[in-house]
Amino acid sequence: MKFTLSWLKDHLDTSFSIDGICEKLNMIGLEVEDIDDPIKKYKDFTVCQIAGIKKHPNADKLNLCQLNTINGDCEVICGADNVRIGMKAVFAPEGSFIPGLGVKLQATKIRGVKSNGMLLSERELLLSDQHDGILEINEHSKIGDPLTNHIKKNDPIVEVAITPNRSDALGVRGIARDLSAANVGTLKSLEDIKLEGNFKIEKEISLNKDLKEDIYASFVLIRNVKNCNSPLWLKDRLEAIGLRSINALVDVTNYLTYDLNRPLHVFDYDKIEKCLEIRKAKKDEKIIALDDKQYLLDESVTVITDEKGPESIAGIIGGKRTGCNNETKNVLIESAIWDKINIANTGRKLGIISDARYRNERGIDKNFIDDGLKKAVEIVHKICGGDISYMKSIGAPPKPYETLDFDMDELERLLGITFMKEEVISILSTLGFGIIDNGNNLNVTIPSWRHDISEQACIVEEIMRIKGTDHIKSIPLSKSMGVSSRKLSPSFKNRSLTKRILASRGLVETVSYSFISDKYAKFFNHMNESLVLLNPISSELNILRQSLLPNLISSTKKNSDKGIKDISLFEVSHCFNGVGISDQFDSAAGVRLGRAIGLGGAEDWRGRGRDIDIYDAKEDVLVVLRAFGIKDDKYKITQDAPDYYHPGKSGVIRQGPQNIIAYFGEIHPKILKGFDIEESLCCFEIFMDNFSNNKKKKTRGRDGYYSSQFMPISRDFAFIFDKDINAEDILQSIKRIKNTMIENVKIFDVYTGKNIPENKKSIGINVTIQPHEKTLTDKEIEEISNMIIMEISNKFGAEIRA
Amino acid sequence: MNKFDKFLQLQEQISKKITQVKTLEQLESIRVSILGKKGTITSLLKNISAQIPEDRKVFGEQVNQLKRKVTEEIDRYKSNLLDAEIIEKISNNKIDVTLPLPESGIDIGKIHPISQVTEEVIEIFSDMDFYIAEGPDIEDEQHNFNALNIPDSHPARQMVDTFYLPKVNGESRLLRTHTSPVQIRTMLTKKPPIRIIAPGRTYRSDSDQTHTPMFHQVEGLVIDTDANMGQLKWVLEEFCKSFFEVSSIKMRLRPSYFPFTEPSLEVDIACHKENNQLIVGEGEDWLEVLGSGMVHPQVLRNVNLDPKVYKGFAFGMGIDRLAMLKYGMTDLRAFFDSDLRWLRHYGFRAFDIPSLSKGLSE
Repeated sequence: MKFTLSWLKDHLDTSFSIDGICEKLNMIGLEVEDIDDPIKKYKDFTVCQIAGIKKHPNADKLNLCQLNTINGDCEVICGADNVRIGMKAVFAPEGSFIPGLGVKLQATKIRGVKSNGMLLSERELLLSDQHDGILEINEHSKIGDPLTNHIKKNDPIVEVAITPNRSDALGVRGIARDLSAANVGTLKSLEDIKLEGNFKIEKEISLNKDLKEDIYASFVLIRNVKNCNSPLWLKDRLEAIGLRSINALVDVTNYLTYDLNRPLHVFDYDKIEKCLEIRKAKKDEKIIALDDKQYLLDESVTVITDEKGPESIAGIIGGKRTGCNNETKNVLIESAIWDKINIANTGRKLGIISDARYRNERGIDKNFIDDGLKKAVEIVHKICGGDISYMKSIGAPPKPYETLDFDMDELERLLGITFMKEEVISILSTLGFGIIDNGNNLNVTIPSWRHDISEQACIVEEIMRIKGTDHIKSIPLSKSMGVSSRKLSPSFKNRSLTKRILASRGLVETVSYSFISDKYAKFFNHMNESLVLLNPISSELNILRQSLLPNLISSTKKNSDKGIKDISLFEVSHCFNGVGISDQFDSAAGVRLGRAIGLGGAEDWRGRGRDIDIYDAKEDVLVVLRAFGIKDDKYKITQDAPDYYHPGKSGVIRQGPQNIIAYFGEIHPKILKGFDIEESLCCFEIFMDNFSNNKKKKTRGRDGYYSSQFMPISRDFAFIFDKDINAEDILQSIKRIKNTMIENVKIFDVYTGKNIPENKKSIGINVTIQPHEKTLTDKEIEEISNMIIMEISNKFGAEIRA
Repeated sequence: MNKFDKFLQLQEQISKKITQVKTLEQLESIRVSILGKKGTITSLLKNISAQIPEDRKVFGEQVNQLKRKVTEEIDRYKSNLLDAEIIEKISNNKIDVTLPLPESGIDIGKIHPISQVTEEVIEIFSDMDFYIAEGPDIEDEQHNFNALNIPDSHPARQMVDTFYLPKVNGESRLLRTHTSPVQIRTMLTKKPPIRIIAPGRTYRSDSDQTHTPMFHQVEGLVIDTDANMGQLKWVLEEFCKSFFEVSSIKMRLRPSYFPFTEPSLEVDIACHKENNQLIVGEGEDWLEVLGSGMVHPQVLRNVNLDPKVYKGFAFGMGIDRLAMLKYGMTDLRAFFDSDLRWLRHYGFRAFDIPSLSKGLSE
């Protein structure tokens, strides 16, 4: 919503400066988005006179102009053709901001000659698009006179963001009323207009009986008008707020839309075929509107029709067929109140954005339908002349006023401060509320233009915003007695911990969109139709993700394309298996490419480092699991990861056969091809929701500490196994041997190749034997060793190596 | 000359010999010549019994004292020689300690600013006794709009561009446009008093330098019998001071409009620029940081709370925006671009865990 200061002053008697007014607007809930104040914008620009002109020594098209300015004599360079000695022009000194160029003028040399300022064109001043030459100022003006004394556009323009509840402030008068309540001035009263009609409108105007909505519309016909260009005052106002002047009839409707928030429509009466009827559109009826677009209508749309069909979409946009132009002789002016919800739905369905719709769907003054029409007739008559008809109204006028009871205590209850009743009454009265004082209870009549006042809290808001929010005093919130308790949900805590563990391992956290391209979803076989967005912002972001990996892989690719070689990224967030609440699950995933940086594998002067492999990804997972208290014997690893993993180089970590807590491995090469990635990528996915470690212990106490006083003994074994025996099974079988002295079992070597038969592998196992009661004899140690050898060779058919 | 003066002479002679020694071998041969089986002192020891009885005691003392002193001296000299030998051995072992080392995992790994700022916000509100609530990203119209007093035809419904998903059994599914539905879910499941914040992802169909189709909000809700605007103001002031880590903050409450609050306020904080850096808390410019208000009586009725008994206030702010204001990022889109260089520049270390007792970002 835009207006100019002088326009505001049509309605408001005020001595406040533009800055004072704007500050107040902000504080009463009418947020100022922009102030275009010529006085400020042009403050550096003054009238100067060209005293002499020389050719620029190094440029044919440029002149050196000697100027008499407010700062004395100086020389500037100018390329305009219209410079001449004696001419008065606009001088911009160094350091001034040139609005049309958007730059601050710096002292510069142009082709070796210094320019001490600039002479400005209209475009450089943002006065018009004119840039053929510099702006010439009246020859009688004085040197040093401010530019604003010599241009018409010196009325400050204010742009205010109006919240959807405040439809009344979509007219300048509404803004003036709010300001008057906030003591910025006095609201001028609107003159009563007496309309002297002297004939009946011939063509029939009717409301269809089947219309269920409450509609009220009034019409006045003016015959023998002379439509023309609008007078200057009207043109200037409209142009100042960014509207194009079309002709007087149309301009008046636009003017009153912004002045009094009274949208109107003008029909060329002669183009109306026989009669007007307000009814619902029929299915597939069409209309070409004033925006030159054709709209397909249906039974939900309210239209104004004549015998030829719809000619206006009620309250939204007029039709082209009956529009007014310079040839219009007889004009029918319409002022109406429509069903807000219907306007909103129709406007949204047809995708029409118009000033009329904007206001009609938010609600206009219920008691200003006929008076608004009279005002329009008055202005049109003044500009275009003609004979005025009687007013014709159809439908029932809406009930203009609602009332509600307001308990004064509500102010303190909601705001925490008390008010004097007189002050409350005064504020409400200037806002246009009627009040009956019943002691602590006020019976309040809501102004016909306010659609946002429905209960006591709304009255509290009115008092608060007009009185000023700076009167609200901070009141500390009580705190619980004693020490604070845990505030985070387990899942939040889990995500937070996981993030920090992964970051400590050199992975960098990303936050990516929850939606991905269906192209990627297809690679992962994640095409769940219920997760496809109906109105995506682009085809790159059109389906909700079921895994964090697609975004991580594509980010890896993007970074790699920028020349980054060693990439370790992770994300911790949720994914979706469906649209239900329980279908949303937490996940942590990571992707690694290149050297194992941060894991001791960086390339440096000690060596070339090493590449990431899937065991790094596995370790990423295990470190997280251990942090959650899931020890290595609390899960199983199987080799049946989803299809997007490399079938031979991937694993699944389970707690129980159906409960998957993580995947790790290389991404399947065929998926990498889809992402245009040639290297192999190691990655993991962790599902924290599935962790089952959260058995709450009664105490935080740990098991008693025990340490043997006898030296542990370490023994190495090497066996030859079949190639597909899993290390985990070997370790487990040794751990399961019933001997409490077997304490730690490690694999220190895995070897295939020379000296080992094909389909076989050699595995070196280190076992720590911890005596508890005495130092073991060689014989006793040998007995344990033999037990281990027997177990392994029996269970796996393995052969001990010499 | 005293008859025992010869021990003194002998000691001097031996000392002299020892100081001339250059190697451990030479020292050993001296030791043997003095203390070995046929050594000078060994022979003297053997001679003790041959002394006349009145001399024997003193003689014995003198010989033993001599032996002790010589032994000490040899040991000391041996130790010096051994040290010298080590020093000699490592004298060529100097390495270049200025050679650089690659960064370790803890240096390279980074926490995203959104995670960090979310935890900062949580830390502050936890201290004011707020619990952390969460809700689903996929919502229905009931929780995202209707219960929040935004019926279908409401112009506010057009204030946001909603992402829709296919209907399920005729029921709409959409991506929540704000974290406010968590208010509704909380009020429907918990009895007052309620004091929560709800951080999370939100979605609007919008994209430019200051808008991304996904962003992060944190919602706050207090429901009690005595909640009021003064408390809201206090909470927001305390939060802003704590978050921006300043001792005082100039704040402006501007009346505004949200369908689910009445009265509604937008909150601006003062700011200014110094050397192109944004300084928050004082200055002539204003920054809009959050929206808030008293919970609309209709919203309370929608969750079966009696507005005559219960009151509440709610507030919501953009986490990404808070991060930008505090840490100086200028382009919102970069948050979600996964550009490693950006993430390393603006990210936080794993152990930079926000904590009020340590100082929020110290």
